[in-house]
Amino acid sequence: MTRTLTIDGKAVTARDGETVLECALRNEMSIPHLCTHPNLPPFGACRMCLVEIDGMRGYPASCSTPVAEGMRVQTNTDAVRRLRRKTLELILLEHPSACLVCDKRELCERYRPKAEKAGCTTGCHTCNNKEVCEIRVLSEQLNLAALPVAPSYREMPIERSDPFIDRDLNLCILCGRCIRICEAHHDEATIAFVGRGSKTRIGQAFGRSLVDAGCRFCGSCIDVCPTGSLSDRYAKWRGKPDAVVETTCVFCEAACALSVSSTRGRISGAKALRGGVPICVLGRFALPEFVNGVTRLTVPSVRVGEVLREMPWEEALERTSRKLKQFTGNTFALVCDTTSTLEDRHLFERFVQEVMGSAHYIEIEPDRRGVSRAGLPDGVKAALMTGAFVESAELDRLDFLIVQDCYPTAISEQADVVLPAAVFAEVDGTVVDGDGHFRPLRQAGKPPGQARAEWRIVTELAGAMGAKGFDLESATDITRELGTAEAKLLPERGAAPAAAAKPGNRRTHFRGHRIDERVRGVRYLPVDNGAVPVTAAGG
Amino acid sequence: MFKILHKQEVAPNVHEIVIEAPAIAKKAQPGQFLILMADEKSERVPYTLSDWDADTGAVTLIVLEAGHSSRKLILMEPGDQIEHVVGPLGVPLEIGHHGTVALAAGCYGIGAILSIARAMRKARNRVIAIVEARSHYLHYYEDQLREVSDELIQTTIDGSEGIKGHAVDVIKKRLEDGEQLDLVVVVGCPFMMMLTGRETEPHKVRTLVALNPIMVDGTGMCGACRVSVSGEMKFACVDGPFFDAHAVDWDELWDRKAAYSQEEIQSVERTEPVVPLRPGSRTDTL
Repeated sequence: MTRTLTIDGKAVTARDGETVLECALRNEMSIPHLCTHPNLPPFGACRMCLVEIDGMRGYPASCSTPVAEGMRVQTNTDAVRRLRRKTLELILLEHPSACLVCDKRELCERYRPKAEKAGCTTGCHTCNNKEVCEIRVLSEQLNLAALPVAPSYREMPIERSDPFIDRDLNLCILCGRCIRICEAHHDEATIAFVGRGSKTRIGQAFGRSLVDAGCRFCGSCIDVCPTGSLSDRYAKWRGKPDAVVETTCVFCEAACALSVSSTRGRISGAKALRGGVPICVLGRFALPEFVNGVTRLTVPSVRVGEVLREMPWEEALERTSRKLKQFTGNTFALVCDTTSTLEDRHLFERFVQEVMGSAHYIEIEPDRRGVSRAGLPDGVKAALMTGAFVESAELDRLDFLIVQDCYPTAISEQADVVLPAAVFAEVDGTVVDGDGHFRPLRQAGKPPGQARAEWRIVTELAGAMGAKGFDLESATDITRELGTAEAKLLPERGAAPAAAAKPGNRRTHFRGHRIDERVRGVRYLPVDNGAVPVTAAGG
Repeated sequence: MFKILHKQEVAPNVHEIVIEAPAIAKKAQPGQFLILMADEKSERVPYTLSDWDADTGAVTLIVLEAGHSSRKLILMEPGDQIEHVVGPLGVPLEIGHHGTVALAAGCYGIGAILSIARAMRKARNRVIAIVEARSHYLHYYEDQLREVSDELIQTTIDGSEGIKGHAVDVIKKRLEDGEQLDLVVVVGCPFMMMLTGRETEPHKVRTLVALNPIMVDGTGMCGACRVSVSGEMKFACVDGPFFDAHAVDWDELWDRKAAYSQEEIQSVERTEPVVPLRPGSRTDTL
C-alpha cells in the first residue's frame, strides 16, 4: 500500500514500511542524520534528523517515524535547524572538534588537505577519517561556528593491541552503529556499551581484547563508524580512495562481492560491497596487505649458470621458449589451481594441448583450507607451475621448471625461470564460486613492477614459441572465446559465509602461499586449535 | 646507548622524554636539536631540545607521535635504551639583548621554547611566551613557561581556554595596537610559522622560524634538509634551524616535506599490535 504525504510542501509517495527520513532521502530531499545507517534498523539516538510534523507533539526523529497518509512534514524550519545545531554542539563537546570551529580552516585546507598521521587524534587535521567524515559534513550543513562550553576529552588510551583494528574512543560519539551492526551480523555481539552515564563507552565485557572476546574481524563496525574512532590499521592513512572497483573475493569459494579501493593504482582497502551480511577477515582485511607485500615478484628472471638473473620480459620469454621446445609432448606438464581465473586456465589448457602437445594439464581444486597439492605424472621432465603446488623433492627429476607466481617460494628458488604474475584484484576475468556460479573479477589496482596477468604471460610465451591463435588482447577476448554465461557479482547472500561467522573456518593458504606469512594479523586468529596446516611445498 | 630516565604523555599525543646524555647536556644551547634513532634500524629523526641539566646529564625532548619512528620512541619505557642520540646540532639561537621578544609556539614547540625563554630573560629581554593549542586539554608546561617568561599567553582554537584563536592572532593584534616587538621567534608546524611570518612582515619585525624539513645526517653532508632562504640554498641542519621567516621559500618547504608522504604511510601500514600480550590470554599462545 502506498501513502501520499507532503515534505516541505512537496507531495511525495511513500513505499510501504518507509520512515519519513527514508522517504525524504529517496526523493532527493536532505535531512541531516547521523546514528541511522542503511544497513541498520532505526535507532533514534542522535536527534540530528528531527523534523516538524503537523499534529504531532514536539519534534519527532524522522529516522524512526513511519510515514502515514496525509502527513505534512517540515524538515527545515528555524526551530529544527536550531535544535539540530545545538544537538551537534553537544555531541561535539566529547569529540575533538577544534578544527571544525577554527577560523583558519580554509587556509589550513588549502595548505594541508590531507590528514597528517598521528598516534592519537586531537583534531580533523590528524584524523584518519578526515576526508570521509560524517561529522564534518554535518557541521558544514548546520553552520557550526562555536561550542557552547569548553569541550571535554575522555583521556582514554588508544587501543591498538588487537589485529587489524585501531580504536580511539576519544573520538567516539556513542551513536551505537558499531554495536548494532555487530548484533545484526553475528549471533552474539562482541562489543557493547560498557559503563554508565558519562563513562559509557564501546567495549568488550570484562575488559577483554577483541581477540579474546571472540571478535570475527568482519570489519563491519569500521565500515559503519561515522567518525575516525574505529579504523582499519592498514588503510587508515590512505585517505579517500581515488578509485573504487566492484570485484569478487577469491580467497575462498564463497566468492563474496567486494568493493576494493585504491590510491594511485595501489590497492588500499577492501570491504563488503553492500554490507548486509558480514564478510570474513580475509576479504575485509587481508587483500591489500597480501597484494602489496614488499617481497612480491616484480621482474622476470631466468637462471643463467647458478643464479637467477633478472631480465626484460622479451628476453626472458625468448630464452624460455627456446628451452621449452625441447620438451614437447607428455614430457611437459602445467600445474595450476582454481584460484586462477577461468580465462587464465582456458589459456593454460590451450597452451598445454596446442603448443606443447601434452596431455598433462593439471588443475587443482584447493581443499577447505585453500591448500593445493599435486604430484607430477611419470615421465614429465619440464613443468610450468603457477604456485607452490608440489613437494620440493619432486622437482629433482625435472630438467626445466618455470614458475609463474606472485611471491617467491622454495619452489621458485629452484626454478629455471621465474615470471611475476598479477593476482586477485589486479586482474580481470571470471571465477567460479562453490555453487558453480560465474563471478566477475575486475582489476582494481596495478600489478607491482612488471608483473603481468597470467593469461598474458602464457599468450606471449606461446607467441615466442611461434604458436598461432594466441593473439588475444584482453581477458574479455578470452571470455568471449569461452562463451560462458555472464558473470554476476554476489552482493547480497542469505547468510554469512562460514569464515565470516568464525574466523577459524577461513582458508589458510592462497595458491600455495601461507596467508599468515603475508598478512600478519591473521596469526592472532588460530584455526584448528592453533595448528595451521602447512604444505611441504609452500613452507 | 642512551637510557630513557623518564617518559610522560604531557598532553594527548605529546610525549616528554628525558634521556641520559651527559655529554650533550654539557654542551647544549637554546635552539639546538638532537637526532635520534630508537633502534639500530630506525630512521634518523631530529627533535628540538626542550631542556637539559648539565649537572645530572639529563636532556628533555618533546616528541609527537607522527609516524613509524616517533611511534617506536613513544612506545619505549623508562629504563629502555635508545640506540643513538646525536647532538647538540644546529646553530644556537642568538641570545642577546633584543628588547621585547615574543616566543610563539605550538605542538612540540611549546616544549622547545622553554630553554629559549629562560635564556632570553636572563639576557634581560622582556619575554612574552604565546602558546597555541586546539583545545584546553592540549596545553602543557604552563607552570614551567610562566616561571621563565614575563608574560604567558595561551590561545585555543576552540576558545576553551585563554584567547580564542592562534598565536599569530595575538601577535597581529599587539602589533596593530602599536606594541613594539623587537624579535619574534616561532617554533611549531610550518603552517603556523608561515602564517606568523606573513603577519609580522608588514610591520618589519624580525621573525625567526625553526624549520623542520626532512633531515638525515644533521651535519651538512646529505643535503636532505635543504631550504631556500632569500633565494639561497641553505641546510637547515648546519645553517639553521632558525631562518628569517620573511625570506623562506615556504612552497618549496611544503613540497620537500611531502616528498616521501606515500612511503611514510606505507611504513605505518604494517605495524603490529602494540600492547604486550597479557599472560594467559588466548593471543599469548600464538
